[in-house]
Amino acid sequence: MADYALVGTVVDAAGNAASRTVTVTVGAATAAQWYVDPTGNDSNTGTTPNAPFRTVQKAATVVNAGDVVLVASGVYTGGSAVLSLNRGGTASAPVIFRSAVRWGAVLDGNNNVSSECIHFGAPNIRIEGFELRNCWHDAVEASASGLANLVISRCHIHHIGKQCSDGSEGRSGIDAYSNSLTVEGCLIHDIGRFGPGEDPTCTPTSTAWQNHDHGIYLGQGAGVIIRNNIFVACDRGWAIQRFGGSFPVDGAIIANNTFAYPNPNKSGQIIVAGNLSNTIFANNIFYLPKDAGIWWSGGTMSNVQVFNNLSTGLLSLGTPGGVTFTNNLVGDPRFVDAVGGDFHLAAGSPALGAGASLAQVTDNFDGTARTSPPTIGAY
Amino acid sequence: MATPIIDSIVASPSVVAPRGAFVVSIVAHDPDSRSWTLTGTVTDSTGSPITSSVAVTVSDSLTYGLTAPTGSGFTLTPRAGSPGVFDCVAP
Repeated sequence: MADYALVGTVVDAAGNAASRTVTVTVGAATAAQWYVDPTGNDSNTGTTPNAPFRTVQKAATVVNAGDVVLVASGVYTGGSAVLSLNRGGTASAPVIFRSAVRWGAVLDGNNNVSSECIHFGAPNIRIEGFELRNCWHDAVEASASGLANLVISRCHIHHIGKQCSDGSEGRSGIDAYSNSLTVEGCLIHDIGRFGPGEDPTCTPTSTAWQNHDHGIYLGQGAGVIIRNNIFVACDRGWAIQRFGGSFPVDGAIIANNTFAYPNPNKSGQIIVAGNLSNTIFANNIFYLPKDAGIWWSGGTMSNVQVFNNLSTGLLSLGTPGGVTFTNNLVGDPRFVDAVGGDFHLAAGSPALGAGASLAQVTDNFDGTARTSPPTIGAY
Repeated sequence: MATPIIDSIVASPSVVAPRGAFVVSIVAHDPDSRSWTLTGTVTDSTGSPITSSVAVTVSDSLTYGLTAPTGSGFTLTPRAGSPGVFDCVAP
């Protein structure tokens, strides 16, 4: 089974061109395609566009290795988890859940009725193009034992954990305890509980709202890849929180992400507070972090490389052993419209063509192939 | 003139067997396009008017393309008379 990116192009009379990609999976003849549509019915066969299931959960109960579930645009809700995935594929033939239109299919926690938008209970599953929102604990929960080969691709994750809470239990966009987990091309923002003044019914009585909720909680895993994502204002904690005590994180690649805006109450857009080994931080943009892009707060580092990142200020807070820093830049990335949420790069950006080539990063947030040398950041 | 906007690009089905057929549909629009409604009036000798309207849209013509990775072996054929629709065959 293999995925191919086909590139559609539209050109006007003046030669102005736009392009977008669509993924086609060419697999074994026995792989099935399932259809889900808000107008469907779970009593349907689900095997043709004219007889779709009503819920993504129904499809999740029938899939086998190599199958693809194509989900039409619309809002899907559920119980404790909007989508609980207990049937996976194999490493070479994962099960794929694909929104037919990027961010068109919405897994909605229904105003915090659902704890999780997606719960992984099996390995070898790929999630593509969904919007995940309004779940109270996590958008994606991947902490069951035995998980591996999970991909969260090109999703929009936001408004997670929006409750009033003084407790220490954290919320997160992605709760990551899986081997070979990939998070790519996602937009992640508005993660975490209410702060003061955010909701008229909520007056926090502790400071938990300042630092307990995160874009990605990187608790454990070998071979984790976090690439081409945009994190905006993860101000209830950090965009990426490496914690987890003695659980190991080995061989992680955190590359070509754009981190925008600070947590005014805590240093860094990434905090490293647990052990890391054989890990790369490369080609990332840290835009207006508080104090520094990465706060090395604790843990033991071994063969950690930090290179070709661009920060508007300090890149690093703390001087841990076991970490090497090379070719990192300081400057304004010159976004097209940061206030408006457009983090494409304007002409003259110091990030253009200033990255290091990585075999693990071949395209960008838009799905466009990267040039060589690549540009720093998600685009 | 502004760059065209691609509203969606969808492959159906998006998983195919080797040498299987599928269709890719691209929906796009020209952000510079403008529409007007023109109203014509005919008045008879008694002074009674009859009106009728027609919508006029001025837009760039858009040219659609679709490419596959070099050497992948896909066959991509624009469907005659259906701009933005491509009949495809997997390798």
